[in-house]
Amino acid sequence: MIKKYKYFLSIFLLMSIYYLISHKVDNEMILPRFSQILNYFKNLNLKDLFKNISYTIFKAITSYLISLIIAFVLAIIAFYRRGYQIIQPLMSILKSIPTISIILISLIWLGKEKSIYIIAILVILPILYEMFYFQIKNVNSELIEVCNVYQFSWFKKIKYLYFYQILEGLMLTLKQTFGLCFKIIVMAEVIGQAKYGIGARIQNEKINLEIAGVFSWTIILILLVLSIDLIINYSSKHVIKWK
Amino acid sequence: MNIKISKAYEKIKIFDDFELNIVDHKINVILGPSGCGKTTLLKCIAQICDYEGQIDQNNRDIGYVFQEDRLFPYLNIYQNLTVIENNESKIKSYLQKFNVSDLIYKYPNKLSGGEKQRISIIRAFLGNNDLVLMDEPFKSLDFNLKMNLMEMIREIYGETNKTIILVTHDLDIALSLGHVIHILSNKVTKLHESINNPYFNQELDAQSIVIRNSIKNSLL
Repeated sequence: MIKKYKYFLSIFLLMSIYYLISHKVDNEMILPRFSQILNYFKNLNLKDLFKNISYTIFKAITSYLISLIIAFVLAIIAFYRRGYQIIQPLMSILKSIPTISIILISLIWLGKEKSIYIIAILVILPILYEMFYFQIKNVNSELIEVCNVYQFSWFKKIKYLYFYQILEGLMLTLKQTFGLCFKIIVMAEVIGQAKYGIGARIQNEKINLEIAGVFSWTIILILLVLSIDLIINYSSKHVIKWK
Repeated sequence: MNIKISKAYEKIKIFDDFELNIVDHKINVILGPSGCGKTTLLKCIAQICDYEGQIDQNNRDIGYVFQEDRLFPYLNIYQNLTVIENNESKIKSYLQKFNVSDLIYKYPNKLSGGEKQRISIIRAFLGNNDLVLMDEPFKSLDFNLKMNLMEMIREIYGETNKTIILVTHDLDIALSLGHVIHILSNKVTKLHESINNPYFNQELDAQSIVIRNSIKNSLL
């Protein structure tokens, strides 16, 4: 209860500061007032709103799933020594390339729409790969002995040694990376000037000098990421019952 | 069951033509000082470590109680036991018999050390195996828990009549639990002596304590 109270207090505090500063600045091109943002929300076309949100969600989920599959396969290959020697340097390079370089290069090479997916995949992939690799590599050796003593079949070994271990790592990583994936998709949509999506609308409002619109879509993005965080937290509690 | 093995870890010999006869359907206690290779011997019997020689255990299924509980942390107690035995009523009757049926849907991290070890013992006896290996199962447990678990092992042995090989460095546990006590000496491990324990399952009265102490002094 106290935690929730503090949570709402900090939001209230942030909004009060914003309110005061926007009144002080008194320039809608720099910091729009609450009333202007609310007006923008009132005039939003619901169909347009859902269409843009759905596009962004679809892109985020698709690129996240593709990253998951690729990262899992790479981690399995890296589990073997020779595979590790090949994959690990690639991942280290991928991790150290600045996101903006990935964005610009893929825009030049692949064009607007495809590059959005590729950008998200390339940024998320090393994080997911490391998680999978760490979970597979660090399976409890004591439990391996238990499996050997009780002569588990390979299916049972995968289920009881690896599956739950990976699931636990995945749920923890999901919390940290899915929101990030969303933000990268929106950033790529802005820079890549996508046709639909939250980023596309932000870019559009920026071009039209509708700063209240930029703020409104940013608020929508924040609410979306927070809701997804809540859903992941809730499902995580139900999936990882043993924690 | 006959054991005749040699085992070395990177040129350090642990067993050199080590021979031991395990008496079937009895509690065999292997007593020896820390670091003499008792755990290694159990691992060899369980076929989870390499050795030279022969262990005549006819590929029997084995139950194993480790020093730590080694339960699967992400499975509740019922699921931990179904990994070994699918028979639900058998699992429930074991849990009930040993007063742990209230733990059935709890996860291992919610259990005390003694409760976890109790489940670990049930797991080792639950399957169709007729050989149970126990590696210092009372380590790091307090006196009362130790007594409770010893009582549990006697009871579960009485019901299943499985061959038990229990490893310990504690003479009191050996005298209290073992039908046969195999005493190991240190350095390249050799069997010092196998004795039939005349004091198996006796109450700790004043006279038996005197007798136990005299054996203790003669052994060590």
